Amino acid sequence: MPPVINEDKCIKCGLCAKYCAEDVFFGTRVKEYPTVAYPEECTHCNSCVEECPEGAVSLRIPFPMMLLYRPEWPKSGQ
Amino acid sequence: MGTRLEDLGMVHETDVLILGSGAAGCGAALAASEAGVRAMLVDKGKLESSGCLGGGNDHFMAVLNTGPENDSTQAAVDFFSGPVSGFSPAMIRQWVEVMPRMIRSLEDIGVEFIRNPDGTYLRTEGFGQPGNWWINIENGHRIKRRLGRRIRALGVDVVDNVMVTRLLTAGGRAAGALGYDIRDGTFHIFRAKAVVMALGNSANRATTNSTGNPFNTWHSPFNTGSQYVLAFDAGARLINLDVRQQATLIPKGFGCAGMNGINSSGAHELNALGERFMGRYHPGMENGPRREQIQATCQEQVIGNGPPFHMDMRHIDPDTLNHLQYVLMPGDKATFLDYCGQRGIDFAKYKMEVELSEIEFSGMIDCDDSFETSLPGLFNGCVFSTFSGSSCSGYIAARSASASFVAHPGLAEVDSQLAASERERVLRPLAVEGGLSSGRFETAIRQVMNYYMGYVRNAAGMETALDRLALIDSRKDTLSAATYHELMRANEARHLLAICRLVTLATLERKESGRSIYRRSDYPEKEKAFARVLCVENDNGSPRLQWL
Repeated sequence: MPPVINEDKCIKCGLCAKYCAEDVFFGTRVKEYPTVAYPEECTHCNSCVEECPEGAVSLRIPFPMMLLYRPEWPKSGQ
Repeated sequence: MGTRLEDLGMVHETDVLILGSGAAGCGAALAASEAGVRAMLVDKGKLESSGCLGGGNDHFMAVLNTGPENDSTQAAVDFFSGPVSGFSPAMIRQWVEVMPRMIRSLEDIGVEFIRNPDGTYLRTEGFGQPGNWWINIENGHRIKRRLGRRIRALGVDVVDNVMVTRLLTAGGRAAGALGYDIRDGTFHIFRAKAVVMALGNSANRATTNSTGNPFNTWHSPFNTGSQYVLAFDAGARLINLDVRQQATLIPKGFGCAGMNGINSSGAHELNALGERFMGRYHPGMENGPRREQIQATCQEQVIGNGPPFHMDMRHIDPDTLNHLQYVLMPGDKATFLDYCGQRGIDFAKYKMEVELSEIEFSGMIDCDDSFETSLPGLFNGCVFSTFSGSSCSGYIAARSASASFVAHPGLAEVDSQLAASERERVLRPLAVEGGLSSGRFETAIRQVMNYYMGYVRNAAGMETALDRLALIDSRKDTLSAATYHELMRANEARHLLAICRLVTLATLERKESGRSIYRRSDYPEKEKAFARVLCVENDNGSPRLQWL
């Protein structure tokens, strides 16, 4: 679930990059929009979402989980 | 003229050096702070989000001696000790003794241990244990942030974003460590009077779950076995690499488990035929030892009774399910509710599909009752597992470490040539052009481990694995990194390879099944003769195995 930055809300404080345990924002600089340099290494710990003071970070559902998505669910799960 | 240490990088001096700032490192920092010694906490992540606890936790194991026999220190000793546990009764007693103290420390910073209306803790059973030892936690995803901020406020020196790559020894005693900043390559030299190893028990990137993503794991994928590799290289004895291998069931495709809460709530695991099959394998059904559920699920899969596998919770009362889905599970990992939204999961209405997780490789640095390892001055902060076991182990290890250096008050000299050589080694991938990327290197390791060291193994397969891992090892000098981030992955991959070789070698020696999550097809029975601990020691660079 790699992070997605809403640039309309982001204030470029860099906290998301600072708190990421997996360093997926490698190369991000303060006063610039965060760079999600290694999205496939996100372990969806939610730190960036938690730390963002503006609610500008959300986590994207990764492709392997999208493969499992079934619009007719929950019917098929019964 | 020799190289000066200061010219190689930043030099730090402290009393107790704590390596790893996860739950164990935090427990160690609390103990060192209480003991009034200088402590330094080092991790390649950031204190507020590092380690398995970074994503959250929903249960804290606590034996509280409230009266009933099954809530007593003796019950814990009886449950956890055994011929292959690696734990002495004295170690377990210390864990139980520290539990209430750790709970108080956590409550002081706002960790929300849930209480019943009468003021007692809301506790549930799990893992086949005799008592309801697991205190439920609300808002578990905030624990690490709170703990991190408390530790900084206590004045513990915190060094974030530094990966430790080598322990220092002097006169047969641990004397510090070497590492480098994962974001800018700055080299760090740590001189200390005692060292606590709190780098984590679980190496999860050696195999994958069905998503194939090695970072979508049950425990933190940041951990690639440094706890064992650093200790082994420094000469400390390792044990239980052959049995302390673990796995769980995970919601299909979601790399976080929560099975403790699900199983203990009374969920039924169903195979593809809709059968609740656990009764064929263990009388404890879903609440027997976790390895039994893993082996049973694996066996059902092998014979074609699955996938899919489901956890059926629809018969459980709605309040319990609501608590489980919306309080406990997101506390373990906040993104669980995003996953539920995606998959339309509702415990009260539908079965939830689950799958076997990746296999995590673990073990233990052998230690005495004060948690000191066979290398004097080096303490094991990761004796026990889980949030409770890790934080309390770290606490006990640092308490002993803080008391230990009275007899060794000075800081040992650091060999600057050795430091210079280590600096060159860890930074080398930056200078290699056109070599193997860390990603490809790691994928090769996983191909071997997934194929030959899976849930069912045999001697020929493991010997082949060792041969292939040796081939990968022969290429490690061609590891190439384009950025400091890739350099970190390259150094993690070196550790991953080293732990995989040790684990495979140790597993080959255990010619039986039934004491871990894997089964040996060539030795399918549990054997009394193997009710022993296997240790691995560094004999001039080569592993030497010995039964204790």
